[in-house]
Amino acid sequence: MKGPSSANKAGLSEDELAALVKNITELKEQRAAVRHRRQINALAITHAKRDNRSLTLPKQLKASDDSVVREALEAKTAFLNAHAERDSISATVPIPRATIEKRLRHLLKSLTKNIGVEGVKPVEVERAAFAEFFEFQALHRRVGSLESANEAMIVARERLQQALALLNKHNRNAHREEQAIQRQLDESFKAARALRREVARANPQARPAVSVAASESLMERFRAGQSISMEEMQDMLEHSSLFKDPNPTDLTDTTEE
Amino acid sequence: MHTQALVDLTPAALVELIQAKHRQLLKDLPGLLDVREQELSSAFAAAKEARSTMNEDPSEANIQAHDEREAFRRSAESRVYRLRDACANTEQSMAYWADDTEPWRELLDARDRVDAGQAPRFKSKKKNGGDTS
Repeated sequence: MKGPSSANKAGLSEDELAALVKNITELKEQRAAVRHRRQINALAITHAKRDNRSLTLPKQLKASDDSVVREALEAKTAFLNAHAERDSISATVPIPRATIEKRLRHLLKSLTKNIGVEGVKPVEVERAAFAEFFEFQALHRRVGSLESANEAMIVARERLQQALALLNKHNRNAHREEQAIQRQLDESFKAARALRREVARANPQARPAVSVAASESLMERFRAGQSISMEEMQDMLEHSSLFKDPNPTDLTDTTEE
Repeated sequence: MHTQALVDLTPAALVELIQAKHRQLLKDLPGLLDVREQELSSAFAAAKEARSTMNEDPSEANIQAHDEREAFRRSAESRVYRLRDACANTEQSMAYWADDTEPWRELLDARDRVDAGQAPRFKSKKKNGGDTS
């Protein structure tokens, strides 16, 4: 016969166990949230990388309200826009600035410098040089625009790099957070197992033994796809060594690997 | 001229500079043409005289003198023709650039096309002709 101290101890352990189970549930929820955050981060990192030119945003990212992720996505969009702008201007500037300036000097000299009889050209040649001078002048302005666009692209690239670095850091922190939660969970599982053993030792009649027939009926219900409680499941598993499932599933197969 | 001044030069300012050059040429060339024409007359007379002397006495010295004077006459003649061409070109250019209707404005189409973002007319020296598409 059990003494009152033993019963009290068992009650206390059950309360602790219940608290621990609640704590485990909360930790699992936290771990799921962190894992989800890491998945979003990984998607954002893949999308925001500079060499990824895809403009299609994965739908998980569209829904994200994480400020770090949003900043990385905005930085990526700004970078792609700046890059496209730079490329479109670059396509119309086939020669470098120095060549343009050299040509401008040459044309100005041929048009305005009086070098005597040898420098006199037919008016058609002067007209062509005049047109070319202002065409090169316009081209020089485009080189200026190209340089501005290039600088804007560099700024956008730096912003993207910073956003990506922040996102990576964010992701590493989430990874550490997940590891910490996992460690807490491992400890909680260990403590819960110890507590269950303690409760079982203190109160061996706490749960009535389940007969083989009852276990088999539970198995029938399980196979039929009906719901069974966790306790019933545990009872069934306790008796799993007493019978063999003729059609083993992942859950009932006891074959050791 | 500094690069910035070169880039900021307006069409009207360039036309002014071109006109200034032609005004100066129109001032210088007629005088130079007179000098060259006198030189050509002298060269022509000298060559004619040398030819007569050579016909009378076809010695080696006379033949050489005739050849030298004939060469000088030809070069003098060439200089005069070039000067006349230059004078004609300068007058034609002056008439064009000083025209009050400013016909040179139509030459700015190429500039406007480049300003509008189109590729320039000239070909690049790059292997693919500057085509980046």
